[in-house]
Amino acid sequence: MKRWRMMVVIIALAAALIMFVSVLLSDLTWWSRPLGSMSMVRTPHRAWRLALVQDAGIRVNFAVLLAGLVTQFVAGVLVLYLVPCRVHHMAHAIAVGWRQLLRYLVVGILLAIVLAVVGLLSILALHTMPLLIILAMFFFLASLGGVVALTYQLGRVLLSQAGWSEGSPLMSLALGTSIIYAITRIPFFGWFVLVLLWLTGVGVAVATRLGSGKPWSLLPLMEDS
Amino acid sequence: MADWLDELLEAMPTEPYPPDLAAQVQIRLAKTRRWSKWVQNGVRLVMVMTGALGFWLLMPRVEMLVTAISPISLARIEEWLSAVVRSPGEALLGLSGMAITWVSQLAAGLEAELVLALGLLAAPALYGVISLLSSGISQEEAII
Repeated sequence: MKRWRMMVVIIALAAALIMFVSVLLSDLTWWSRPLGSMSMVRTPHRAWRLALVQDAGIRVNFAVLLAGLVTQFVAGVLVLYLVPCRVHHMAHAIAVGWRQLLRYLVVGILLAIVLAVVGLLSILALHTMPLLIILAMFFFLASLGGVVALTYQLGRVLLSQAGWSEGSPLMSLALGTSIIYAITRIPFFGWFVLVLLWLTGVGVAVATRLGSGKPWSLLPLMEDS
Repeated sequence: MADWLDELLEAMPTEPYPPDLAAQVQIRLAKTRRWSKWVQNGVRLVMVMTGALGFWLLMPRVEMLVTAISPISLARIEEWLSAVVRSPGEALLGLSGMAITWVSQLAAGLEAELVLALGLLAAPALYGVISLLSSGISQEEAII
């Protein structure tokens, strides 16, 4: 347990470090600029320190990082409070194992193809035109729900391994959000992870019937006949 | 109190069952299972072929599709956001106009072959989703 506690702390610190480095690295103009031109009168070490505070690009990056992190966390909190049972069902569905998670990813990919095609074809007829927006909204909301469940479950697993599972579910969400957000900030790789996460999220949401835990079935219609 | 088992018992024939009944039932069951597996494999093969055909038809038209889909650029979004700040009503009208123009351009760009390719691609994807979603539950509950 002690080892897990250390690991959780290290993971949280690593996430913070990745976010900090991404603030510096994602603005390449700051790095490509010669150090001397930042301030001719300052001593080099002071120029480095002041550059972090004074550089407009880095300030913007930092603001974007904070805004993204807060938005993601607050959206997660909203989802947790609005539909706690559904998040619980989705989190349990994720906890089954890696094979199941891979299955959700495949469901997400296939569903993205189906929705994209149906959305595109719906614009050919006037009466089905709003389907494009409706399907896009459905995809977005389902992905959001699924990703919140994924982040919550990630944080919950780590905290329970460390013996800190008695705390609020918001702690699990905060830890999961900071880890996943940090990973998505890694250039190029982050985008890939983000796409995988959204596809898996939509897969989880749809497979659990938007977290209801009931199977997709036409049985009620068959009972009529 | 009679339940459905009693009703079934009443419906059963009174004469003794043939000695090879169990074996016959097992043979019939195996035959039915074999047949349904054949059908399932056949449907899977058709779906894979349909998907491959759809993909093959779609590949040469991907560039056209991407060109038709992506008139939304960052510059356009920035332009629209500044229009929202200036005059929200006008910006909303402009957006609906832009959306209609985009949809009509996209609809004009969708050739018959492209529509066919998309349809061929969607069918196996939908079949895959249904199979994956119904594989974890009982046959009675499954999507039919």
